[in-house]
Amino acid sequence: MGRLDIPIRRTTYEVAFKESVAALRDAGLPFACMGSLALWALGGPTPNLQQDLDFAICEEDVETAKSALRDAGFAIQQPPEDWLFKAWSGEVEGPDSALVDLIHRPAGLRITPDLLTRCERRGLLALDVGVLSATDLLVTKLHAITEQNADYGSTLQFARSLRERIDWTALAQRASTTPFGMSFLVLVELLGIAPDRTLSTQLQSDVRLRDLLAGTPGLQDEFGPSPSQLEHLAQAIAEDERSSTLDIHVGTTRGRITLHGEATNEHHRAEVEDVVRSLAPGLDVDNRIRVRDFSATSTTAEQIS
Amino acid sequence: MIRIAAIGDVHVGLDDAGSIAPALVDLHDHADVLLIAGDLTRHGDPAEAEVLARELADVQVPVLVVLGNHDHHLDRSADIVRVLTEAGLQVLEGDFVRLELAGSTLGVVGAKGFGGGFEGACGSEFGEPEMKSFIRHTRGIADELRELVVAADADHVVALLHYAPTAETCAGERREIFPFLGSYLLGEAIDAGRVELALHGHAHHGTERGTTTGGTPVRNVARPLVGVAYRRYELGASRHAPANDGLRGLAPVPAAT
Ligand SMILES: [Fe+2]
Ligand SMILES: [Fe+2]
Repeated sequence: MGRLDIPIRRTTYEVAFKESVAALRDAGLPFACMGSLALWALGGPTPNLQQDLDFAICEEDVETAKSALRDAGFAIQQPPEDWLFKAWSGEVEGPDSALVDLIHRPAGLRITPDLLTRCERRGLLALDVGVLSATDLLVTKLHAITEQNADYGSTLQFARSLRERIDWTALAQRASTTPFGMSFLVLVELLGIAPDRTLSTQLQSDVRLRDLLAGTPGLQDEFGPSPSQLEHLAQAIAEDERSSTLDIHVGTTRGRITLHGEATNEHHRAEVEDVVRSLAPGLDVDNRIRVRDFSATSTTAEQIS
Repeated sequence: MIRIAAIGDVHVGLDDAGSIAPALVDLHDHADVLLIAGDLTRHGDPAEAEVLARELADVQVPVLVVLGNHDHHLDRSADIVRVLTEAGLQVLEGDFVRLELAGSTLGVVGAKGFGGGFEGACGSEFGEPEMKSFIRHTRGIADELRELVVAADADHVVALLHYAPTAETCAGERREIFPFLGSYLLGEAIDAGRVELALHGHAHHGTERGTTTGGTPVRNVARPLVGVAYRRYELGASRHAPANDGLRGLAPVPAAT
């Protein structure tokens, strides 16, 4: 592994990295690299280290870590967020200070001593440090996505470059707990980043994700009625005496059968639904058939000849 | 002048009593004849035809109908014809009827028609017996229609079908099902005589107005399409208006509603 290429304040960051690692190690605290530095250590995209260095520590070690870093010359800052503290290599928020984030409760991940000691070891800037697994890192990245910052670019890039290192089955379970994670799982499946179909097979048990994928071409066979199954249903509706009309369209939305079209009265409308329920027991039916009135008459005649 | 009321695809079911009659109470004020373009019933049950017959019982003008595919579903079309005929309706199955109306005669050529497709995308009498009999059925009806049209003797002639004689009035349906909606052979047959207006239904999601290849005005009166109890047409109204002579199908038309 080559050296980090950090064009600005290289020395400051290098020093901050080495000193914080030494302080935590000498205090006997388990810790691991996370953030973009860890992604890079695992073979991911080259990080932009202008911002910060990230370490994961256990919640019960927070106070010990603070004093260890303070003793090593760092300025400790506790921001309003209760899931991390900051250690500055110089003065707090100083222009020449390097920032180290010590995170004990990252989104989507529980840091335990066991997790940290089991971390894969990597050589970073000539130091042997633990690095969070690609799956854990991706989960925390996905949990950081918000409506205001719904940028999937870096997570997709990460997933693509580390696809072999990601435990997709575990990721599917852990990422599908948020809308952004679910969307990400759809993206990696459709973009071919996740291994062929294993993701969607695993995710069949997730009702919300199944619903989300139900309208996706090529995935219906796993997540809802296939086009040919729908056609069988449409044929059966057309052939059943209770519903024989050309005006019922059968579709599927989010894993449910949807019925569109027209009926002349409420009874007819309900009958069509009964037919579908008897043909496809267990499937949700969304009856959007409207009852139409044809009692109006034309007010003008068309003059043909 | 002859005033025609027309509708198609009423698809009457056993629970539709009272759904049609109220809109027809003043029909005679607007029309001299009522033409119904097939799919009278929901699935071809004679009991459904009885419901329709009762709905039409108080109509004071002649009612002429053709059957549609739905009226054939239970293989009881003969019973349906009997029910409707006994109720005073005229069921045209490859028939010509001449009516004396308002001082002139109206000839109605009526047949169910069938599918097969339109120019450029047609089935042919080739291959399996089922395919051959499909197209043969259409050809048989079209040939019959042609003879009736050629021989039709009346001041005004109207063709009443269930299936479409032109692709134009099917536009709106999915292209893939056009061969099941009608046949250009029906249009050709209509063009063999002096039909002034061809009416049909069946293409519920089609287009209301079109012409045959030969220029005969075609109107799709499928009720789900027109959305009203019936459409009204007038024939011979412009007889004394030279500007419109010879421009069949191009006469200025008031917007229908
Ligand atoms: Fe119909
Ligand atoms: Fe029909």
